[in-house]
Amino acid sequence: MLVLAGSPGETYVDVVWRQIPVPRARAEIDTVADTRPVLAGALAQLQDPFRQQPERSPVAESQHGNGHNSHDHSHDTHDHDMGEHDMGGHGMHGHHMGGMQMPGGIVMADRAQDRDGLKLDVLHVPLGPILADWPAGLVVHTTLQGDVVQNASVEMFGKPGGYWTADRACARRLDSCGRLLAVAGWESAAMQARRLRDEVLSGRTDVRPAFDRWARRVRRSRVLHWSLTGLGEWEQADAAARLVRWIDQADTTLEGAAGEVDDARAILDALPGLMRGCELAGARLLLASLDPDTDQVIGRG
Amino acid sequence: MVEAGPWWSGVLLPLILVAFALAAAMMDSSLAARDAGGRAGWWEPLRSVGGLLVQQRRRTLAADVLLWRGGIWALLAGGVLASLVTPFGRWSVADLSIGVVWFNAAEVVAWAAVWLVGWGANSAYGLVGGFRFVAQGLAYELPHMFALITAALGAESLRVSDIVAAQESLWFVVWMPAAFAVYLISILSMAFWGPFDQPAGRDITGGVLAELSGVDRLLFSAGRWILLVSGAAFAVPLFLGGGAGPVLPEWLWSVLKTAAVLAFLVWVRRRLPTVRLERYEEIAWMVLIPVMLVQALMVAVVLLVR
Amino acid sequence: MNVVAVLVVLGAVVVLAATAYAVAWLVRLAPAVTDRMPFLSGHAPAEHAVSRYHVRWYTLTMIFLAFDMEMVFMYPWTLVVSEVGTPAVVEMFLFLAVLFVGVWYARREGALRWS
Repeated sequence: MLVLAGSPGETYVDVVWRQIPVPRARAEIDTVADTRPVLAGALAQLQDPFRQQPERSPVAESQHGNGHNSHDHSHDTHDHDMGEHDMGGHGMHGHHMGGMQMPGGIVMADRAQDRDGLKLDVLHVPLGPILADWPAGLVVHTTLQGDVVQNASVEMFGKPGGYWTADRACARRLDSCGRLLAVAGWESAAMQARRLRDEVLSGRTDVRPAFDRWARRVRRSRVLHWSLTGLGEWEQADAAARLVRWIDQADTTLEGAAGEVDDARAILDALPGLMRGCELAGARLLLASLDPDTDQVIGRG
Repeated sequence: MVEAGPWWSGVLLPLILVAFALAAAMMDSSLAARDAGGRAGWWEPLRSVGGLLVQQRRRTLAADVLLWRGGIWALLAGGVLASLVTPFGRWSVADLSIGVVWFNAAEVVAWAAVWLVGWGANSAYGLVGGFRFVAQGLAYELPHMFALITAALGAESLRVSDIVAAQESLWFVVWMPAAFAVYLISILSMAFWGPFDQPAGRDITGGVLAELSGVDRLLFSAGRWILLVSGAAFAVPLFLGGGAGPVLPEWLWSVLKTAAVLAFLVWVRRRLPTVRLERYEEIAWMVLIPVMLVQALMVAVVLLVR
Repeated sequence: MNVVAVLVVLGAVVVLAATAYAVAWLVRLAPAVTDRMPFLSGHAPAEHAVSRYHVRWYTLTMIFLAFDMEMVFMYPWTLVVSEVGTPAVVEMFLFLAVLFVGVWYARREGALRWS
């Protein structure tokens, strides 16, 4: 099931929708009040075999649409990378194959210099907007050689939100922790963080014991600490230190005190520099450990 | 003590493994449901099986279908064939004179299988996942082989039934605890499970699993579970005395011990976050291998003194 | 006899997997789709993903190969340890120690880290 809350960009959504195998259902939620009926409707559609028949020839249609998209896109990223890399001929068809038409009108990977002075194949892998445990409305266009990020640039879009105000600081911190833990592959602790977040948001006051148990568990995890230490050194703190700070802040604001709000713009400006040279797993952990509140930036334009 | 079973035991073997795999998946989903605060979710794997059977299959643009689907079949075959030499109580499907080497050879098929599935999809995430598995293999395989060799050394035989017989007075886990621990770690890595699930990591949207749907996804996941079961089951004759135990019949002891090891492997995933490959590489080479060298040396010295 | 066992197991696996495919074909909701774009967060790929992947752990593969060859010697070695006696153990572990010094050196040179 594809659930949309807000507007993450129609073209992206359509691309992903075409990739989802049957059975599938699409639920677009615009207001909080809609949530229940829309989800129920989508669920009913999902369970009804007669409404799961394939639509008319989706293959040909998607081929066409995607082909165009790909070109628009490769030009965007292309322009950006030109400054630093020698990537001439990237937009051309069949650069490698002597003019042969490649399947889907997509070219083979081309080479570029890497940091060690070798010339190697480069893949353009945009991260976001539709990606699990990823900030809303954020796209990071990366170029990868192997699994190492050679270059990254940030793009933002969408409508302003502004949900995470100072008096929701505790839930906001728990939300960030949940995302970081999920990216770090600790499903169980991430789930607990998210449940705590929901309970705090719903105004429950008896969350303290559960919070303490969760906080102790996460703080004590050596494997987690060891995985995050030394990642994304920024403003005298690495990913592990930021996680501990988040937990501390969530701790002090748990009873409803207002907390501080990070400057998302500064984070986003620092992001490309931090990501460069990271392994893909490291880059994702790094972003999750900074967790910029993209709503802020979009809101300010 | 252990003898080769009749020919039809070969037909039974995959079914037994599937039953174990299903039980393990049920335990996993119950634990997940408990974390999420929901009701007991033990039936979830059955629903997933049904769901994946009806789900539409898909193929990515310019995918290398032969390699992609071939990888799925190879993973299944490797996982099941590894258990060919695992004694189930008194019987094993085949008691080869080089049983330990056979297990090793069959389970290494996973290297090729997982990489092929990652590569064949022509997807960036699959590609990264596939290569992550190969890198992970570089980390776990040597400690794994040392663990196998240490157990074989203790019995001075590569035949699994000899290894079981050599533990009549004392289980190997007692005097080779490091080898047992390293063996379990390597099994988790081999099935890219638990703290070593980076090849199918959430950060790369499922990695090698990213583009699989329908029955293809079902069989690949089954292969992964079967690999985990095969590894857990082989720990029993290697370190836990095989079917030896009081009162109960030998086959039941085999089942119980396998279930205990498997339950531990499933449980440990919920306790630990994923270990990043770079860190794992370092720990494997700088800690696990030296530990295994010392352990093997210790066993060799004991053999000489005895 | 052993070959028969291997073939029976392999046959059983193939039959089971084929059954799963057959059942899936019978109960499927829709025929398989081909030529789907791979998932890329809602973007279309700029190039095919199959490419010359830059494995930064290639030095590691070299050390691995050295050790892996050693393992081939170690399997038969396990069978003769008490027969040959002390020399077998001394020689094997000296060999392993030499290899491990190599690993130590490679680590100092940064072969175990790549980002």
